[in-house]
Amino acid sequence: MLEFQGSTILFTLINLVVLYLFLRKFLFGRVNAILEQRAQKIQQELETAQQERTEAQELKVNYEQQLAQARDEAERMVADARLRGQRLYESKVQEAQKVSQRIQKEAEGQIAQQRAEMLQGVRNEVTSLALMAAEKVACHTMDTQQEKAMIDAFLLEVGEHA
Amino acid sequence: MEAFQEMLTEELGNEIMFTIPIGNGIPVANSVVMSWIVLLILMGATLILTHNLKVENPKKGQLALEGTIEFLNHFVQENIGTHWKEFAPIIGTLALYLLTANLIGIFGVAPPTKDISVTASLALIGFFLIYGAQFRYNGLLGGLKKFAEPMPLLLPINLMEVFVRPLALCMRLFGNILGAFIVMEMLKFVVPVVLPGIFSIYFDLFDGTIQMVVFVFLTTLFIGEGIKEEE
Repeated sequence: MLEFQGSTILFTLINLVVLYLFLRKFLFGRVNAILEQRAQKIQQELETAQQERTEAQELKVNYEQQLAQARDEAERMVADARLRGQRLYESKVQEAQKVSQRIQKEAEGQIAQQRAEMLQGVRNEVTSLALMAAEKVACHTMDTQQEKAMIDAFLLEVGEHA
Repeated sequence: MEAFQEMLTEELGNEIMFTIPIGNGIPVANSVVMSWIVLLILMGATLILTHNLKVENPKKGQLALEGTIEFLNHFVQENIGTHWKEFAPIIGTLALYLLTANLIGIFGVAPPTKDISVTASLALIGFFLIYGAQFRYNGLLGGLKKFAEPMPLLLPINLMEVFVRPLALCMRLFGNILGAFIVMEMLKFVVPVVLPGIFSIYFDLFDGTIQMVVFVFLTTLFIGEGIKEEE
């Protein structure tokens, strides 16, 4: 009752070999190919992502550099402008001071001149008055140069005392 | 009781379905025909499951299939090592064949693995796999040296194992499936309804799966033992 049957053993061997060849091609082959493709794809995507990240990092560093540069530039420009403005302001102030000084001087000069003129005028008046008074006193015209000079000297003396 | 005994004896032997009229006539056993059905089921399922595989956005069915194959790959890789790629499809084929063959008993037909000739054939395959791998990847001398491992004293036992291992694989499978089948037949004879259904869960589903796992696991383990490099 328990017997090994040669044909059954052979048939089973053939069956299993056929099944193996079939499954290797259509089941394991296909599925493993898909798995491999997916693994490859994932690997590729990871690499791409890594690369992109590196690139982004580089770009970021670049931008940051540029930004820092721009900020520096801006600061420099502001400082420059401020300096220039300061200078301009100072020069303007100086100029204005100069102008005002000049005007003041001129004014002072004018005032001095006017005063001198006025004094001269008064002196002349006084001289002529004195001359007239002396003429009246002496009944004599005093218009020689010598007399005039004498009176002027006298008046100067008086003026100095006054 | 007599009728039952007769039935059992009949079940032990494997009846011949038909004979191919070539030469003296090649007998085709019931189990061979069942094997063909198993093959057809597996091939059909394979073609249906793998006809539209996608790399991107796989469907649930594909994911399950991939998970199973990946599990098999990992299992073989763990037990066999570097040469797992050649062995994974073989082990997978054995597993799928055994699982389907063992579970086909649920449909009330005799599982092919109940026939000792079928399991003998499986044992032959296991024998060639184990020792073929041992000699292929170690060379003739290296393969012979493996018999003296882990120590020369074990040489006779290792040589005995060459025949014991396949025989044990073959007999374990055959005995378990036949035993389960007989128990189920007895149950059906004594209590024809309800009870066989409940016990079928254990004897057909659980036992069939366990026997498949044991056979595949041991075969893989033996192959790995023969070719794994010593760390």
